[in-house]
Order: sequence, then structure tokens, then C-alpha cells
Amino acid sequence: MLPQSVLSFWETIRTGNEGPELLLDPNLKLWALIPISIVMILVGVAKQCIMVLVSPKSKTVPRVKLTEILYIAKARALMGNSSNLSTESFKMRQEYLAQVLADGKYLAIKPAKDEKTAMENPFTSPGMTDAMTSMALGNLVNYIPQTVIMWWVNYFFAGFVLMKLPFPLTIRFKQMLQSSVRTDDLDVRWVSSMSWYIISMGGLTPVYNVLFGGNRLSKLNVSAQQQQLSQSPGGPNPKDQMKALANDITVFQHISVLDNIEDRVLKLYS
Amino acid sequence: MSYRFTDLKSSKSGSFNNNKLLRIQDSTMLTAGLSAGILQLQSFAGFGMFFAVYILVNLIFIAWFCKFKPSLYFTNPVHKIWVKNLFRELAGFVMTWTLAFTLVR
Repeated sequence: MLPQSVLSFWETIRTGNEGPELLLDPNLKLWALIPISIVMILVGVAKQCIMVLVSPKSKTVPRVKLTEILYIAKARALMGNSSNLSTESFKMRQEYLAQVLADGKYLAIKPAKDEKTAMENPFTSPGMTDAMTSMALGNLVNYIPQTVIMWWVNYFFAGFVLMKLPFPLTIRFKQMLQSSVRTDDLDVRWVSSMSWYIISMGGLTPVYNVLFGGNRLSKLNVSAQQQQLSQSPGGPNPKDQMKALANDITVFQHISVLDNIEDRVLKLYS
Repeated sequence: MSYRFTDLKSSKSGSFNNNKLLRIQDSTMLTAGLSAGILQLQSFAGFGMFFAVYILVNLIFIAWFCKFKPSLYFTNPVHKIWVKNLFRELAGFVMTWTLAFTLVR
């Protein structure tokens, strides 16, 4: 008795409540479903290759700029990890860094005597324009194929029901997923080829990652990081940053893990 | 006595870990979608399979690769492992599910 009811329950869950079945030509799979999938995957591969070609080769940062960035990072690291230093060595670093940062000794662009703190135009600096061109190209590479494939699918594969979705949808999706199939009351689960395009557009990202993940993507990431390192338009002025850090370091309350270490060790082993 | 460490996480290792997790999740969820389609699962059964496999894979990942200590390998492990890639994997699963469902029918 119980297994029977469980089985029937499982059957209703498994199949849902289906409407009448349509008999679809199996050639549709061969001549519509598979071509669309192959084209979309190949376009994705081409997109990746173009992105790699377009991305800036090797970003170089001037040495003075790098020094400036690293000194700011060093000050932050000192304050963050200060408790692991003994008092004397922290004092030493504190005095040195406070002085150097306050003087602006390692600023990449030394302030002129009568400077007006002119805002640097991000469009004129060469590294920035490079980054912007590659960004714009990346956007183009992303959007053009989408439009082209959408037109292609709409033009060549319109006017028939391609497949049945394995899950029910609400009636709102009828307009989008059953475009070009003009019926009033066909179940929304029967969809045209446009919806296969939409579904695979969402789902192909993991496929690309599995097919050729790893090295290429990480290369792109590295170049992105370098860009971050090299320029931050609209960020705080490095001079002000250094001044603020110098102040912070001067007033920093230092607590060392090594304070009273002898007592604690003796207590531990006594 | 409070002692802290900051800026000690290597960004290279972090992205390596993320890529590893992403690759495992991607491949398993795509395969799960294929098998759901081959089994001809429909509606709730399919999504149920998605969540079951997703939870199972993540638990195995935490147990096997992270040795039950995901916080050693990820900053904010709950978000990174469970939430961040959910919709990406769901989209991939639905795609392969639909594909296999249609091809097998």
C-alpha cells in the first residue's frame, strides 16, 4: 500500500502534469539544436582568443611610481602587523617611516614650489588611454557576437517548435520563448529555437571554464591586477595619503607580543 | 594580548583556490545536468537533483580539499563556496539538463 502511494507520488513529481504531447521531427535536433549549440560554443572560443589578443601585453609601471605605492603599502603593513615586532624595532621603523612619509621623499611626482594641485586628466595619461581602449574593445567583443547570433537564430530558425523544456513556466514567458510560433494556447513548455539560444547564453560560462579554464583566464586577471596597481583615477592623492599615514604612524599605540615574554615563558614552564 | 596579521594572504593562492573550486563545481554541475536530462527528470525532480548534487559536491569539497577547514583557504568561505556561484551553476545545469532532455526524448 505504502510503496504504491509513494510510487505514484514520485510519478507525479517526476512527470508533473503534462498537457498533450506533440510529436516533433527528430531532424530538428540535428539541423537546429546542434548547429546552434556548436556555433555558440565556437563563438565563445573566438571571443576568448580575441580578448587575449586585445588585452594589453605587459603593463610597465615607472619605478618611482612603484616605490611610492610600495611605501604606502609598507606603512599600512607596519600598522597592521605591528604587534609581532619588539618595541625597539617598531620604534625604529616608526620614526623612519613617519619622517619619510611626512617629507614625501618617495613621491613619484615631486610637488612643485607653487603648484596648484592640478587634477590630472585621466584621458591624457598614456597608460590610462591604453586601458580604456582595451576595455572598450572588450565590450565590443562581448556585444557584437550576441547581436549577430540573435539575428542569425531569429532569421534562420524561426517559425517552429524546437524542443520541450523539462520544467514548467508561467504564461508570461510565452511571448519571449514562443516568439514566431503563433498559437494561443500551446503550453509554454514547448518553445522555439530562440529560447534555446537564451538558455545556452546563460549556461555556457561554466562550459567555457571547463573547456579552457585556468591559464588564459588567470593571465587576464594578472593584467587586471597590474592595472589596478598602476593607476587609480579619482583615488586619493598619494601625497595626502602619505601625510595621513605619517600622522597615523606617529600616534600609533604599539602593543607587542614580546612584552613580558620572559614572565609568561617562565610561568608556562614553572 | 591581541596580535594580528594583515596583508598576509597571497592573492595568487587565493585565485588558485577560487579557480579550483569553480572548476570542480562547473564540471560536476554540468555532468549532473546531463544525467538529469538522461534520466528524463522533470520540473521539481530536476531542481531537487540540482540542489542535492550542489550540496553534496560542496560538502565533499569542504571535506576532501579543505580538510574541514574552509576558512584556511577562503576568505568568507560561506559566501565563496555556497552562494557566489549558485546562479552560474544553476544556469549551466539547466542548459545541459534541457539539452540532454531534448536529445534523449
